[in-house]
Amino acid sequence: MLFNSIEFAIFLPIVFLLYWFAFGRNLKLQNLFVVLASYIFYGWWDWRFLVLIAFTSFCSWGSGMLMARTPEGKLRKRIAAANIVINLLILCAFKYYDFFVTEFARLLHLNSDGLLLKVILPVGISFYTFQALSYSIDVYKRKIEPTRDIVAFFAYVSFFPQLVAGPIERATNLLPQFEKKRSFDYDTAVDGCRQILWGLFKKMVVADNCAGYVDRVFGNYQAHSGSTLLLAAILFAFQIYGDFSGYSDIAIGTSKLFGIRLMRNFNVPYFSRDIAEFWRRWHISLTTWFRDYIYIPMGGSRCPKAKIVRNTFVIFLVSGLWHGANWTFLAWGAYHALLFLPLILFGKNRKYMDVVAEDRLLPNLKECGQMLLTFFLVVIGWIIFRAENIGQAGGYIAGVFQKDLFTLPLLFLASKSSIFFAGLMLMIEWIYRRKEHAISHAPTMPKWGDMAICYILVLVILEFSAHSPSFIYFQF
Amino acid sequence: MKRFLTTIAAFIFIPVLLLVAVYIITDPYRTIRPFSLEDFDETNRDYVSSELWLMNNPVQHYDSYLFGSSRLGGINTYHWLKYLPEGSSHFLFQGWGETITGMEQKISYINGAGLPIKNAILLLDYPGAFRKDQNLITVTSIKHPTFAGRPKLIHESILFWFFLQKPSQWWRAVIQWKNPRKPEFDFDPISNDTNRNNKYSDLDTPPGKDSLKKCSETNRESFIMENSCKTDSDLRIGNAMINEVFEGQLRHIRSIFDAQGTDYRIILSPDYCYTNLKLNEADLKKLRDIFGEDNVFDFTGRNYMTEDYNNYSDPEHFGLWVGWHMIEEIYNQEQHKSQY
Repeated sequence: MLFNSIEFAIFLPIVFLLYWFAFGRNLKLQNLFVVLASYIFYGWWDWRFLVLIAFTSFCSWGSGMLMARTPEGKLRKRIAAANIVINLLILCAFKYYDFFVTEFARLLHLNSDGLLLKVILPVGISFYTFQALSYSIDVYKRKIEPTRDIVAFFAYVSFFPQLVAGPIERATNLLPQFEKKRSFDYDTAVDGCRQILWGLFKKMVVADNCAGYVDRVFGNYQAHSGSTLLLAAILFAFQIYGDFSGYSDIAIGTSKLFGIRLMRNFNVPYFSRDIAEFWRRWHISLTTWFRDYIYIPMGGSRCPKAKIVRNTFVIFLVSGLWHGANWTFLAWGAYHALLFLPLILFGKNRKYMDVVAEDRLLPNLKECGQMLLTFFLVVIGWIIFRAENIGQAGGYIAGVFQKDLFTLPLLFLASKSSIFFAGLMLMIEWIYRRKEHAISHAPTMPKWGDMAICYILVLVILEFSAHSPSFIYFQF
Repeated sequence: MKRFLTTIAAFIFIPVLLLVAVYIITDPYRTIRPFSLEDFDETNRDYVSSELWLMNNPVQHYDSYLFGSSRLGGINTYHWLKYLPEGSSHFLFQGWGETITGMEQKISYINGAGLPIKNAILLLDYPGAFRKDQNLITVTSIKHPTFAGRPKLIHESILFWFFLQKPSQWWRAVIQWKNPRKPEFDFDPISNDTNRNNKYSDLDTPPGKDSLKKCSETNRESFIMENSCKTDSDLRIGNAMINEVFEGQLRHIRSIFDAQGTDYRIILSPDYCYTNLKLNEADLKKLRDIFGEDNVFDFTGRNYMTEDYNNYSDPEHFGLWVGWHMIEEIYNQEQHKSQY
């Protein structure tokens, strides 16, 4: 079920009313209802894969229970490791097996056809697997007490707003919220509705309008000028941001309606002054997951320089691979590792921790330059990310830097409106860059002003939305 | 909670109720008030064609029909007339995005009313007329309630649902509330032919090389994009699309034609943007099994019509030169077969 579908528009109010009115007085029943609603939400796409979510949830909950009864030692470690291996095996079987078998077979000049599984990728498998893994690791490291409440745990893994595309929640944040009684808060719920609207605008107006131009240019990049290729790459940067951060906003906003707080997943990433800042602001739930469960356990940046280089590459390559089984994702990861490396080696990776132009309306010239350069580097990365294969990525990038880079790009009605809405989104996010989301309530704003903004957004979404069959990150 | 539900209900339902009132008062698609040639709306061509037919038939006694989508805009009935028996009364039954279902509904209705269908051409868009969801309902393609057998209230509710989703329609409705609507293109109020003043005079001379310049920006964009998309694409064979439902509808049409003794032709439309997409052999065989080998004409894929964008007004709509050639080919097969 897609957030921007009629089905979801019917599903959400029904679940909301039942959640608070029919099951609100009994926490166990309310959690059970969350699981049921989440399974319906997921099963709408393909009910067969519900078995996988249930299996992942049960294994992770079971391993937690076993670890609780097992004293410190090898056995406890083995239980945690077994659960991690099971989860990763499922993920690899569905996501990476065919890719690696094909690549090995190609290397050895063998025919891989008989060895391939050729299974479809279950939507959101990387997201809920990582969420389940974080629980096991945290229980093993005693950061969290294992829960006995299997229903709460199933709700934690399958909570429908963030089940298929995150944010990837930590057990330390989300699980306790399912273990205690939730209460309805008017202001939070209204803010959730606003955030849903903002997310829908980013997805349906910005991302989906950019998609048409981007798809056509990337689909036939040899035929276009450097300027058109660059414009399509820039629009793809807005498409993927609008698509993914829009989804996150809808997920976070929806959760607020149920009295659940999810972590922030994007924090104005295109206003970053260097790549390190970009990665603190882009897909925060995944970045911090890798940081906490892979990078820091490997020694992080507090180790000899050779190890820092290794750790940086490992985390970025794994991050690339997480997005999919394709050399382009690995190359994208390696590209970002190369950009990140100088900053971490010279200790500059934590230089920009605040929001740009914190106390000012506009950035200064230096900040503008830094943001533009960072954005440009990110856009080059997105070309690699978006390409079908490494050859296409190389061809596309070479195509950008042709003589005709300084000619006028192909500009049609559709591309002009994409540019307009991407610019509008950027402008609004700039003005409200210090807030949790762009249209969250400002104390100075009168009530009618809030209402007017919401109505304007509804009108813009209705009038200018383009229709895309899915969200980009579902495939990951 | 009560406060929240009240706020949300007010936020949603007050504007919706207002829009219901606007819809009823302004009648944006001119479907509530009686049909008039002085004030109608072209958003749904099927509705206009159907109303025109319902209004004229008692006087005109139509017996020859062209059924099809917007592609019928590339056919001038003037070229067809010479192949019709003297005294025939013809009507162009056009609906945007017309499907097999839509054609079957119309043919069934005419036949059910005991009216004659002596001559017929079915212009099938490929792949449009064969899309899986034959009941796809949009504001432009929803079928007339009389022919679809749908209650008027349901029909209006569906139109209102679409009206609700496009704010620009709200303003348009209010602005045009009391101003009669002029049709976007001229058409003959008797035959419903959209090309009565637009004849192509020379069958041997294609349109020339300036048609792209004449296109609107949107069409030019489509041409450039589609043209560039085609550069390296080989001819593809489309998937078989005629399922049991379509087959049943097509056989029903055939049975009506047989009962009526209709002289009919089935055309698979040539689309520029699908130059590299050829009708599946299995589908072609089914169509020929149902309608007979000599009555089915497949212009899909690459041929002298589809390879040059100058023959088109936009990537999906052929121009009059193509339309004329098709009429000549289907009635005069031997003369032009070599040009496929």
